[in-house]
Amino acid sequence: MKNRVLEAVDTARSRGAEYADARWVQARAEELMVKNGALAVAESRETQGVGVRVLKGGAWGFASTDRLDAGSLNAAAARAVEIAEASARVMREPVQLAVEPAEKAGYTTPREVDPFTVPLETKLDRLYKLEESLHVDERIKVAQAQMYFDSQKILFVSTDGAVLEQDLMASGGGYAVTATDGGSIQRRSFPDSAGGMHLSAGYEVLDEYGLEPNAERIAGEAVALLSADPCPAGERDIILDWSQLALQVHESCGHPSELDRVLGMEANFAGRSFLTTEKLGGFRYGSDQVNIVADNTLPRGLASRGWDDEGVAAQKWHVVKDGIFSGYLTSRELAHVEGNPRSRGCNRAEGWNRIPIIRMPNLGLAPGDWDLDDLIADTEDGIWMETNRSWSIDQMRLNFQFSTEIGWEIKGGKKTRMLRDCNYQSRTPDFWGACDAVCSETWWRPFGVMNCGKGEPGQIARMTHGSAPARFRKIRVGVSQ
Amino acid sequence: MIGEKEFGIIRDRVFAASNADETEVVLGGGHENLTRFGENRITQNVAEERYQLRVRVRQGRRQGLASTNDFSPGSLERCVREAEALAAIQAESDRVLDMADGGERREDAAWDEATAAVSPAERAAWVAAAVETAAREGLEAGGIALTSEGTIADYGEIEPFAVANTRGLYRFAKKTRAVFEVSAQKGEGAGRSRALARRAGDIDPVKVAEDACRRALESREPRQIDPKPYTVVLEPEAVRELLFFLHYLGFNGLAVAEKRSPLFDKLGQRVFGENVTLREDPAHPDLFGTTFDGEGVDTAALPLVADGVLTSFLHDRLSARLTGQAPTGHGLPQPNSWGAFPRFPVLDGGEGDLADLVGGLERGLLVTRLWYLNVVDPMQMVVTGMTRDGTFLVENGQVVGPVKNFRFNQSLLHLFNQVEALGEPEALGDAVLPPLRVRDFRFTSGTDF
Repeated sequence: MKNRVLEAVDTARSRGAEYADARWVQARAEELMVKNGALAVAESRETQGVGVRVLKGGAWGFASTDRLDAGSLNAAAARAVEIAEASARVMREPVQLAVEPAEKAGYTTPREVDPFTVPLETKLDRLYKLEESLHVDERIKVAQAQMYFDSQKILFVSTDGAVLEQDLMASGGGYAVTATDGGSIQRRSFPDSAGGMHLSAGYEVLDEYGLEPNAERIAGEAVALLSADPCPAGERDIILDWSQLALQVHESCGHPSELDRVLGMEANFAGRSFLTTEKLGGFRYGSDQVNIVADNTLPRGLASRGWDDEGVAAQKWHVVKDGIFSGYLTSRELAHVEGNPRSRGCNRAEGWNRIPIIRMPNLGLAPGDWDLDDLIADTEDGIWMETNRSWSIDQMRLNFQFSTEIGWEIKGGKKTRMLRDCNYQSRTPDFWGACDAVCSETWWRPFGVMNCGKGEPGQIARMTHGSAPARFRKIRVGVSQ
Repeated sequence: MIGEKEFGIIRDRVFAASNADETEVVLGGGHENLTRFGENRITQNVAEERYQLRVRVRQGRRQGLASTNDFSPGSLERCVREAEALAAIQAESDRVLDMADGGERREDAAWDEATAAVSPAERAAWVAAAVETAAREGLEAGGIALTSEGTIADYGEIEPFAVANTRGLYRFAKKTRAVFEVSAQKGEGAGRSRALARRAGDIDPVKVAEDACRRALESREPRQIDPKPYTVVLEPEAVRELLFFLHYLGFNGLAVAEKRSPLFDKLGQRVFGENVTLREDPAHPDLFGTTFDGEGVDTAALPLVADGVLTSFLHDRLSARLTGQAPTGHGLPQPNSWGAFPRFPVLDGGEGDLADLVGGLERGLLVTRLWYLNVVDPMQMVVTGMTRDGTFLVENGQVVGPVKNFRFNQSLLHLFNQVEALGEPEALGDAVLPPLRVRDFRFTSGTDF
C-alpha cells in the first residue's frame, strides 16, 4: 500500500503539482450502548481510504477515494490536480507552506489494553449492570450506559519526503440518566456529558473513572434535582468544575484562536473571531491568573499524536500567558500570519475523506495554586456549577451562555443547597477577566470534547481540555428565567 | 456511483453469508464535490467518493450491526460475522422488532444527470461570479458551491439511498443536490443567502451573491439597543432554526415514548395558536429527498399540528410500537438512540409577503437568521441562541436601520402561541416555511457587533 500511496503523490507531481501529500487511513470503531435494559447501540464500524492533497499554481485541490487499487489512487491524484487548477481561477496570493523537516518515523498511542481484544461479553455485561444500577427511582425514565473505542492507522507521505506512520487510539464511556416528574426534566451524567469521558488510551481508562462507585449517587442527584430550587437570577461568584471549564475553554478560547477563522475562512459557517491579528501579543484576554496552554504532547490527550495531518510534529505553547493573548492555532499555510516560520501543527482531518483544516489542539487551563476546599471556603456568596449541559456562543465568540446539569449554592464558604437549571452568561474577555482563582495541580483533570464540529464539508475532531476548578467573580446567572 | 446492479451483488453476498433469522443491508454515500471560498478567494476545494454499508442481523429478539466501506467478498463476510457476534451475546429484548415489510420501490425524481457531472471549473465559475459581485461593492465574500450525487449529508453523515431486507423489502433512490451559499461582509455589516436545489441548473449564483451583498450593505453600522422582549418578524431561515428544535424536543416519537416530550400526553389538544398548521409533505413539489426512511418505510404525509391542535408525532417502527401508533417513515437506520426526525417539513402560511408582515409592525425587529441554538429547558422548550447576518429595527412599519445582534431565551411552546401573522411560505429546498410575526420574543443580552 505504501508504494501505491507514494505513486499517487508522484502522479500529482508529474501533473504539475508543486506539492502533494497523501494519507491512507484505516479506521475502526466500536460503539455500545445499553438503554433502559436493552442494547440500544451495538455497532462495529470500519472504513479506509486515501486522500490526496495537492498545491498547483499556489492553489489547493483535494480528492479522496475508498477504492484502493493503484488506478483509483492515481485517478484521485489527477482529480486533485484538476481541482487545484480550478481553485487557481479565484485566488489572491499563491499559498506558501512553512518549512517543516520531512521525517520518516512512527508514533503509537500508549495503551495497556487494546479495547478490541476485550471480549464483547465482558463489555456488555458491565454495561448491563451499570445501566441497571441507575434505576434507583421510578421517576428515572431513561438510563443509558455506553462505551466507545476507536483506532486510526495513518500513513502520511509527501513530496517533501515525509513518511509518517501513526497508530492512534481512543477509549472511553460513561452513563447518563434522565428523570422527569411530568413538570420538569433533569439529567445527570458521569464522568462527563456527551457520551462520557474519553482519552487517547486503551480499555484501562474505564477502570479509572469510578464508574460503578458513582452510579447510585449520580442517579440520585437526577431525581433530587426535580425538587431542587432553581438557580437564582442575578450576579454571583461562580466556581466551575472540570467538565464545564473544558467546554468554556473550548468555546471561548479554542475556537477564537483558530487562525483560519480569524482570517475569514470559516465566515460562511462557524463565523469569525474577536481575536483579530492586531491583538496578538498585547490583548488582555483574561486576568493574570489565566494561562491557557496548547499541548499536543499531553499524555493521553485526545489530540496527542506524533504529527498533524500535514506532517508537523506535536508542540506545546501558550495561547494565553498571564492573561495576555499570546499565540494562534496555525497550519503550514497560515503560520506566516503570526510571524512564525513554523506551523504550530494544528492541521488535522477527520479521516481519509477530508482535507486537513486548523483544529484545536489539547488546550488546557494551567493550574494555579488554590486548594479546592480553600477556594470554596473563601467564597461568600457563590454557586458551584458542575457538568456541562448546553452551550451557545455568538459567531465572533464573545457573547456566550452555558448551563450545567447541577449546581450547589455556596454561602459563607460552604456548599449548601442543590440548585437545578444553572446557567450563566457573559462576554469572553469580561468573563476570563473575572477569574481570580484557579486550583492547583493536585486538582487538575483532563476532560475533553469528542464531537467538535467545524468546516464545510463538516468535520468532527476531538481534543482534551484539562483544568482545575476556577472561580469567576460577579457573573450573571439564572439568565433564562 | 454505485448503482442498482452493484448494490444487488452486495445484497446477495450479504444475505447468502448470513445465518440470522433476518438480515438487512442499508447503503448510503456517493460523490460530493465542494468548493469553499472566503476573503474573495477559493480556500478549499475537495471531492470525495465514499460509501457506508450497514449490515443488521436479527436473531430472535437480538440484533447486531456492523458497517464497512470495503465491499470485497471477504470483507462482507467478515461484516456479517461481526453483526452476528454482536447479536449473539446480548440479552433478548422486546425492543428488537421483526424487520419491515414493504415490497419493492425505486425512485429517481430527485436525480439530475447534469448535476452529477458538474466540474470543478463550473463550481469555480459560480464562485467567481459571487466574488466579482462582492468586490464591486467593496465586500468580502465567503461560502460554498456544492454538487453531489448520493446521500452524503452536510456534516458528512451518510444517509441511506438503498435498503433491502430478507423479508423482501427493497428501496433504491437516485438523488443529486446542488447548494450555493454566500456570506458577504463589510465591517460589522453581514449578509447571507443560500440556494438549495436538486438541479445545479436551477441555481442562479449571481442572484444568491446579490442577495447576500444587499443584506451586508443594509446591515452596516448597527446601533446598540436594549435587549428585552420585542415583537419580531422572523424570516423563513430563522423559522427553520426554531422549527428544528420544535421537532426534536416535541415531535420525536422516541421522546414521546420516553415521556421526555412536553407534548407526550397532548394528542388531540390545542397546543399552539389556531393559525399554526405544521405538516410533513413528501409529495410537495418544492421538496426533494428520499421518500423512505432508514428501515425502508415509506415516509407518510401527515399533519403534526392542524389549526393549533396536536394531531400526530413522527415515528420510526420502534417508537410507533412503544406508543401504539403507526410508523410514519421518519426513522434513522436501526438501531439508534435518537428516534425520528422530520424529512419534508411544511409550515402553512398566510397571504402577505415579508414586507406586509413588517408593514404591520409598529415597533420591533426584523430577524433574518438565528445562530447556535441550544436547549435550555426541554420541558418548556426553551432554546437560546443568537441573531446573525442582519437584524433590523422596525418602526411604524418601516425598517429604520440595523441593530447589533442579540441573544434570546425563548420558549417554543410560547412562541407558537404568540404568532400574530404568517406570510407566504418560501421554498428553502429542505423545508417550506413562511415568515412569522411573533409577539414578545425574549431577547436577554446583546453583543459587540
